[in-house]
Amino acid sequence: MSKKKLLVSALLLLPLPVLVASLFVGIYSIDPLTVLGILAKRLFGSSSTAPWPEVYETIVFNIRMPRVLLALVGGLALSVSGASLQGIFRNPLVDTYILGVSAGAGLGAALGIAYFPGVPGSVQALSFAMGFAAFFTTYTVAKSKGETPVISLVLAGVIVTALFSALLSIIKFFTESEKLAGVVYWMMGSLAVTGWGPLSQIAPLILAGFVVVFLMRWRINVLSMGDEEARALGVNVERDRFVVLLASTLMVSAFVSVAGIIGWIGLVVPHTVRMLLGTPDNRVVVPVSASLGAVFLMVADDLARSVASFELPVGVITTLVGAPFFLYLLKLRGGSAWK
Amino acid sequence: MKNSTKALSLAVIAIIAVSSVGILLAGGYLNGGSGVKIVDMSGRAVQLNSTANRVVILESYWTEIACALGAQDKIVGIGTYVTSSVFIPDSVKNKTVVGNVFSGVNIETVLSLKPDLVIMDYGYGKAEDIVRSLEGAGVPVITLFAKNFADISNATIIIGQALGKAERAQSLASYINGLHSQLISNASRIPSQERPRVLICNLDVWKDGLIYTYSNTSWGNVVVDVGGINVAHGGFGDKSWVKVNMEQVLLWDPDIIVIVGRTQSVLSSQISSMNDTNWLSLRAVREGKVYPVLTGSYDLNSHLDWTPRMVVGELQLAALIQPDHFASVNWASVRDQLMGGYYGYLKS
Repeated sequence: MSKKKLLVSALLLLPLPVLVASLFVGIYSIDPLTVLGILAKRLFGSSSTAPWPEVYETIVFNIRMPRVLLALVGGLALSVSGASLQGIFRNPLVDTYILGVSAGAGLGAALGIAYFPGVPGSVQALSFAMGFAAFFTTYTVAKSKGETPVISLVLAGVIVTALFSALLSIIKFFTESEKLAGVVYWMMGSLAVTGWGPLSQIAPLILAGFVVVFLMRWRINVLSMGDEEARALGVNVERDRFVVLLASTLMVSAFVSVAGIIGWIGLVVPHTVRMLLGTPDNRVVVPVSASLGAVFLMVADDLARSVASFELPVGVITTLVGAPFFLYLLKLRGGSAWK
Repeated sequence: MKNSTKALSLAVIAIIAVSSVGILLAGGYLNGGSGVKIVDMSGRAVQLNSTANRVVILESYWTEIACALGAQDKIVGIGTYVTSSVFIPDSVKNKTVVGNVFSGVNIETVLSLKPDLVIMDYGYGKAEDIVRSLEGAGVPVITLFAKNFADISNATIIIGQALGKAERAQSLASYINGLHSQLISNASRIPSQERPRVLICNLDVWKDGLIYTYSNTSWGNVVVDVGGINVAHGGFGDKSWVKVNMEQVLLWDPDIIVIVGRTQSVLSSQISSMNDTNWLSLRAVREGKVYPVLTGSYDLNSHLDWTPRMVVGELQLAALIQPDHFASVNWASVRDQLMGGYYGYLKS
């Protein structure tokens, strides 16, 4: 097995040990063997009386496990979305939120927080719906004479982001201080309060989006060559681009609706993967980005929930950890993989 | 005669017994052999095995009330902003910080403290998720929220019942309720033509030249309770905080301006910013009827807050807005009584 294949295999398998290790991390001190015992009991359904306090099972299975899995699927969603969009936009600076999804989701969340307080699921539903609304607005605005040129999509995304951001500012301006604080904290992104409920709602959507992008990863390679070249190779550019955009939006909107806006992952992880593997080939960049994005967010969230007795915003940590690491890689490799 | 005395005694005992049960039910409190049952302010029935001995409290005002009731030793965890309050002893401020309603709490940290109760706000931020997570992990939660003076009194009773300080809580609630009722009763007799038009506002919140007025909020409504007319109620009566521009303030041209802020420096900077031609064209500014009033818990001279200190704040505002009608009110003396009677822990 070549060195590169070995590296790819190692990166693809990395989420598993990180997932298990993340279950050991937390303020409540539970030794790893007990954590493994709890997992074994839950997974294999042992009916014997547990030698540990009941609260340990609550912590491992109801608090840590859904949160770690949410970080896993969230990191996957953001990084795969970033990788695929950078491919089809042929732009290394594009990240997950270029289509206005974050601005739309933020507006939806703010509407929920400001005007539907106490209505269960309102923030999540509105955030998801508005994220999608922003995407469709961008796509509709960019579409002209049956075509959606990449430059039009980028410009439309910038405009829609500005428009939704302005609407968000209006809501912030008119909302009461307690609700305003809620909006501000939502924008920082956090996995602080989760559970099996939100995870079970969004994980199928994210996995569905991922399967679509994964199956289309070679088409993303073709799309990244330019519209003319892609057409010449028999690819239905409009359809394929729309499907990838839709899948990316589905993944990101679903995750953001639960966790708020967590930036940087969609930009830094795909570039890191390209630099590590020395190739822009999306056939490997997409799955390895999924793997590394999951690892990145799991580790960032481990830090967010364990460095202090209270929660730190995970979005701040992804930036604080990601930016210097990305700079280091950039200095080391000079971004040659993108070229 | 003997029979009638006996009948009268029985009747008195029966009335006292029925009244006691009524009071306990009204306070949402029942303490039977099976533990303590409390109906909190969001209407949830919370069953405790006994009064709590290890409590986590997320907000500074509820923490302050717990301390005023003498339950500071029962506090094992606090919210992020509790540490900023000067009305909470260092022994409590040094407890583990678990997070807050806005950014969420670290559920594992709470569980590691092994609390038998969490007390927190409801109705905003991530409160619902936090309650769900804590109750899912087997920790009882009492939720409170203060919209007006009665809520502060009610919250005091509930906290006292939950922490085994019901008698002291009843005493504190009765004390502040008595002062509040007397104040409202006196103010209600002030004729409408003697009620000044008051603007209560903050100039510092946005630093963008707008004036942040308190309309249908607790502080905004206190202005009316103590015999003033809140100018923001005209047109914005259904709004809580209204941001207006200078033109609107000039249109109102209030008789009195109350500037509120959490620290002396914030108040000073606000007062300084009023030294321009726009503000000087207002009657209240020209006549020197601009009064800075501290709110919250950052300064020992702050009284308007969601705590028993609120009653001092009301008296302070009454003396500023209706000096003729409340000339005899010595709010500083009431403050000293309150501090001496319930905040003795601050001396140490």
